Amino acid sequence: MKAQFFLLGLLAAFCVGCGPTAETASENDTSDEGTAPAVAEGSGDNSEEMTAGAGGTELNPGNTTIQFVGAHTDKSKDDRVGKFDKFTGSMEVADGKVAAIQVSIETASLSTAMDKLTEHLLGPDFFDVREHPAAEFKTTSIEGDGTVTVTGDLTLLGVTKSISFPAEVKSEGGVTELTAEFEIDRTEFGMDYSVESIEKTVAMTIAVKA
Amino acid sequence: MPLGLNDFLFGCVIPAATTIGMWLLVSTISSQIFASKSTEARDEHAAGGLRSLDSAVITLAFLAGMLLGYGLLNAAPWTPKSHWHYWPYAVVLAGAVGVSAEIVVGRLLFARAVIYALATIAIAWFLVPTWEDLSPSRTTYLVLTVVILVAVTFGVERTLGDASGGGKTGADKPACCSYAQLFLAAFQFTVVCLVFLSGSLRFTQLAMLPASCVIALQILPQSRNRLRNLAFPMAVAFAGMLLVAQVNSFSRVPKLAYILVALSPCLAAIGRRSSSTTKGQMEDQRGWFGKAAFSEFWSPCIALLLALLWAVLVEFVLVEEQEY
Repeated sequence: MKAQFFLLGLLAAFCVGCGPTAETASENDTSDEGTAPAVAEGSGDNSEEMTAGAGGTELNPGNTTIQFVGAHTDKSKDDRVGKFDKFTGSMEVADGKVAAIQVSIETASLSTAMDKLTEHLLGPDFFDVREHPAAEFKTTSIEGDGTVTVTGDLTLLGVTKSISFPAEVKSEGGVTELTAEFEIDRTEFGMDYSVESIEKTVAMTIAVKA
Repeated sequence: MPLGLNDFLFGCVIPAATTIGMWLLVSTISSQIFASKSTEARDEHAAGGLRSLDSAVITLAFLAGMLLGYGLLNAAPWTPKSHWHYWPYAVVLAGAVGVSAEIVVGRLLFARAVIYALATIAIAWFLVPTWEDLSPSRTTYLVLTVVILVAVTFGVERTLGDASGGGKTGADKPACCSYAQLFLAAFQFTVVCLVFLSGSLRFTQLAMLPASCVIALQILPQSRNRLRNLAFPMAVAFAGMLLVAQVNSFSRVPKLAYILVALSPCLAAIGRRSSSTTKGQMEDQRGWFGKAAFSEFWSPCIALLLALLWAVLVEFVLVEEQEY
């Protein structure tokens, strides 16, 4: 019995030295709302490099909303809404038309209304933000006028796929508004956890006013 | 987001059935082969070869069930892309090393410790992530993982070591078997619960895989008494999954809870040793409320319970949260 207590005491002493997970997370936390631990510098996130291009308008959480909605296959359960609180990018406008967009998102800045859901989404079941701290989107073409068709490369979980979606663009008094609602198939990016209970398609909403 | 019926079928029922089926098949075939050998060969076999054979058979059954479940769950790519994708390979390596150690060095404690330590260094190297913001540092994690895996292996070995009756009197044997087997079940249950509290249902499914296979082997008395031979792969499967769940977790579950659960077999083994050495000095050794039961079963279970309660407390009680 003495040996058991000694072992327990030794463990306690060691773990006090290590410090709890929550402390570590909060030390690294640089997100605005304090819901998601941020990723340390040098861990592969190149969001700082993704600033506004020459002549472009900078995109940031102040003028842009990037939101997603996940739905259960059991429709009696409510949809879950999440958004990203830290990202940088640029939107180039020429002659009142959007010419190019690029965005780099810090996936660890993901937030929802529920802490436990946020924790689950941050982990390897979904966004795996430790392994994949950044998601990126870069347009390859924008066609049309008014209602445009945006085509670009989306990189999520290290997988890059070309996606295409319609967007409404208005430009008045030097202010450009872009609104897009579309769906992506999360399994195409390797986010294949529990397709039986959570829909494969995720509804995305992008709103820019810059 | 609860686990569905398919998750239990692919992650528990089929792996458990495969494990027990494989064990029955291979053990029956091997016993038929050895029954046809000469008496001399069987004596030689009984001297050490039987243990090696038992070790190989039970390891094969355990790994067959686990790997089938891993494949059916489609939890991760077979080609590792992330640190935790190495977990099933680590368990397979531990199984192979455990059997090899039994064949090559038998029960030589020091030699086995060296073999386990070398294998766990390789296992830890792949299982511990290389993230720069890992806290404590990767080096600390590597050292801790090696120490804990070796300690848990010997803890499980010592706890289950005499479950077949060796070194115990006939009167003590049933109680000792019950203490060890029930503690093992409690240990596995706690590991699964703690991984669940870590916030990943995928890892919970994976933790349920080895638990299902071991519980299947605990059902039959013949396989139950040979579980000691699974000590190393069990240690890597359970303690390895605790490591994976902890480093990937965004929950508030404290590190001490993981370490306490991982090392609980060591507490059981220490309790087992202390009650064995004082055997004859204590009048009230047997029974579920005797000193032996307290040392061997209740005290390590209290450690498990404390770790679990602590984790539940910080995750659900101290933080007001709605179900999602």
